[in-house]
Amino acid sequence: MPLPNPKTFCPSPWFHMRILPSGELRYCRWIEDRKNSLTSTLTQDNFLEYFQKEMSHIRLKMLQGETVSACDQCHRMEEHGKISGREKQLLKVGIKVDNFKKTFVSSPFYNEFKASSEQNGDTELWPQDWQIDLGNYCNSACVFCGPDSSSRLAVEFKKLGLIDKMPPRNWTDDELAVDRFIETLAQSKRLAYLHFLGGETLITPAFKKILSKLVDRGLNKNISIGFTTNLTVWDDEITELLKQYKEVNLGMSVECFHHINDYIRWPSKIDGVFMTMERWIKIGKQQNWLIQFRITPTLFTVAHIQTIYEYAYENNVGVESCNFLHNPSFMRMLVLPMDVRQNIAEKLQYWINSKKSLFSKERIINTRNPNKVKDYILQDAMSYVEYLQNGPDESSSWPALVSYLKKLESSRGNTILDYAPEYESLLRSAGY
Amino acid sequence: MHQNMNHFYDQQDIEISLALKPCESKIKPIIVVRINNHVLFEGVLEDARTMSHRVDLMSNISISIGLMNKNYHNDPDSGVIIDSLEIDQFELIPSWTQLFSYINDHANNSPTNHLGYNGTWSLNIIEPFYRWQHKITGQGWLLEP
Repeated sequence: MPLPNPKTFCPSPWFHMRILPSGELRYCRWIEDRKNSLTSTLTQDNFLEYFQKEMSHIRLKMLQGETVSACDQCHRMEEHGKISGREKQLLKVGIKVDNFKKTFVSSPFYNEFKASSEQNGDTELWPQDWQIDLGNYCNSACVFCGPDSSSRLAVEFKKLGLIDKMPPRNWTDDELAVDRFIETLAQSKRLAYLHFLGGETLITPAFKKILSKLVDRGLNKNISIGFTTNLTVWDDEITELLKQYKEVNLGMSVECFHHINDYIRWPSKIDGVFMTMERWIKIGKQQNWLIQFRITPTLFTVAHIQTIYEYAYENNVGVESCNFLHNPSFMRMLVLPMDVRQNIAEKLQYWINSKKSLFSKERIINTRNPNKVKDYILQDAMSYVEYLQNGPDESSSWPALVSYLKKLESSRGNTILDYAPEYESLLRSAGY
Repeated sequence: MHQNMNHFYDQQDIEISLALKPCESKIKPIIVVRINNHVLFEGVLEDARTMSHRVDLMSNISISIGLMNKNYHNDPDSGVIIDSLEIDQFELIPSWTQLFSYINDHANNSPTNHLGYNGTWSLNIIEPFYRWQHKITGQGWLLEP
């Protein structure tokens, strides 16, 4: 086996996989472009066949140093100094990009990589680290979200003619499918981490059911649970279930403490979001859970992400932005004119500099190290400075943006001008 | 590939380097320095000196420094100071003294890089170095297949 390419190799296909809301399987949680990733007729019922056999050609490409086109999100993040999913997955098996050769050989998975290279990419391993998309049940209809992840948005899109048909049924609507999946999880070897996404996890019945059944099976003592919530709902039963798990990683979806939130994460209200957030932080600290903000800055919120960073920094709460926003492309911060981007970058840089005395030069990849929370916040903020300054110019997307916003606003009866008046001339010149 | 060509994984090792010096005292300490049962130095440490040793990338690592035959009545100040200890350029001393055990005849086990009692100061890494480093530096999970 030759040494894989340190710039493209990712160990994720040896221990991770994902279930989409429809029950389809994917080999990575960070892939945004679903059409460009491996498609399978298999579902959660036969995930092992998918993992051990169908994903083989991805493992082979990784070992042979090829660039997998679906991995472009991670490559883009690394290009702009952001910690990529690839780097995080490498670290989970002890591999560091800056000392690749020695840490690759030292990895507990080294013999598995070798075995796959000799078996056409196949593996006998089981997935240990899952992302489980439960479905699209959601009480929010965020402007940058899509019908696959929000049932409320799906209804609105259909009404507005933005989609022809509703998304496929959620796989978790089939109770027998959920039961079968729990059964196979219980049989899994070395199951380590389950990360749940919605929709909104807390309103998805399968979330509570899976948590409860895993407790019944005693798996809660050995596995870590992660989930993301939109901070608009609370469920005492779920919090009690979570308390029974070995480790809980809680992701809170919000980009800013500014009333633009009420437009972007419609129909949430920032005051209510803030109150729910404080409730989670309080219980999280009591239970020693890992709590992080999961931010997805868009062109309208990027100017205000400093409000999250400041709160997080002062309260020692982590911030993790998993990807630069990919779709819808017209909501990306790169759509802003260069002078606006530069202005936002300078303000963010000024904020970073105000904390600079504490800024370590070390590149932090383990975003969950509680001793590095402040450093990681600054590192994450720095990646947006870099992206704003050096990302490509996508300002030609304004007309598409305006067309989209006008349709949504016709349904919602609101106007972006009430929330972001500073962009009025840009919006007007694009047809608003 | 040529049959005699080495694989990238065949010839990798890691370097352990040490810098020691005797404490200010009329009598110089008698020490023995071992890495994985290989004696790097044994005798009177007259002056500051550096030493290094290479071990296989995947091997366990045992490092020990013994201080012997110190007479506390005649020679209260003698001893040895470990100025630095690095494994593959990862600085363990002075940063990580708490990882070393110091078993001595005064039962003083506080973390230190100053050996002033007869006894043995040691570190045993019972897994490949980079896995151990991953754990002690708080890099998070290290999954096992």
